[in-house]
Amino acid sequence: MTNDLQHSPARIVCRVLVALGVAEEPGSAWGVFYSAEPDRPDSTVTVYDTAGTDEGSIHTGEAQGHYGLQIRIRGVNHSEAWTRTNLISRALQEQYQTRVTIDDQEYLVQCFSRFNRAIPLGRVGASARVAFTLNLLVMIVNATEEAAGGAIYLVDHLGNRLVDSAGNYLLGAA
Amino acid sequence: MAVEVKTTGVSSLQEKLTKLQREAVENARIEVMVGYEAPHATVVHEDLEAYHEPPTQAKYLETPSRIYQKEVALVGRRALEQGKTVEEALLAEGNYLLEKSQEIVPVDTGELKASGFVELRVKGVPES
Repeated sequence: MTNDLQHSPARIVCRVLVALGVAEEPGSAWGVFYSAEPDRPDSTVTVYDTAGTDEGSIHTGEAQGHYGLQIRIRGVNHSEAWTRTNLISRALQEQYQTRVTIDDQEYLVQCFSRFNRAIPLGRVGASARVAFTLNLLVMIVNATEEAAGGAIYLVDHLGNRLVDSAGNYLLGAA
Repeated sequence: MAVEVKTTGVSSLQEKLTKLQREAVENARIEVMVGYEAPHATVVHEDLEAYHEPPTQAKYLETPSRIYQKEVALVGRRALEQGKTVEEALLAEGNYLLEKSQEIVPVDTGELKASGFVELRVKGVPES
C-alpha cells in the first residue's frame, strides 16, 4: 500500500517466518510455502494473500494501508498443530521491522496487526492431520528504493558517477 | 463596587455531559454480530484453495468487512442522523455487511447462505 511490492506479501512473509525461526525452508518439517499447500510433508506452514485495508493518504499523498494475510498451519495431530500456531502467533506479535530480501528486492516488514485468535479447522480431509489458521494484517515497505535513494555516490563535476555499485573505480572506462 | 459574575447554563451542560457519558458507557455494552450458523461455515470461509464460482469466494465475511468498512460506518452515521437509536444504527450496519457478504458467499446446497444472521446483543458487564 505504501509503495509497490515486486513480490506478494505472502511470499515476503514466508521469508519473515524463516528469519524468525518459526518455519523452515521448504523440504523439511514445518517448511513454509505460499499460495498453495503441498500434501507433503504433514507439518506445513502456508501463507496466503487476502483482502487488505485502505486507510487513505497521509499529508504527502502517500497511500496508507495494510495487506491481508492468512497463515495456515497443518500438523500431524491437534497438539502439534496448536503448538506451532501459538509459536508463530507470538513471534509475529513481537516482531518489529524485519528486513528480508527476495531476488534483488529488499523489504521492510514493519509490523503485524489485528490478530484474531487461531481458528481451528479440525481434521484435514480423511487423514488425522489438523489445521489452524491465523488471519492478520501486515505493513510492508519496499526498502530497495529507499536504500537506492539514500546512497552516496562519488561523482565528477558533471555529475557522472566515478564508482559503480560494487565499488569499482570507473575513471578511464569507456 | 462589587461585580457579580453569574454563569448560567453550567448545570444544564453538566447534566448533558453526564447523560452522554452514561449513554456511551451503556452503548459500549451493545454489539452487533454478523455471521453464519451453518456447521461448515468456518471451513468454507478459511479454505482459500477451494474453487468457488465467481463472484462467490472464501473469506465471504472477512473480505466485505474490510472492503466496506467506510460504507458500514456511513450507514450507521446516516441512521443516527435520521434520528434512529444506537441499537437501530448498529443493526443497520450489520444488515448492510450481511447484504454485501451474501453477494459473495458460496452456494452449493444453499444451507450456508441461508444461515446468515445479524444479531444485537448486550455484552457482559465489565468487572470494575
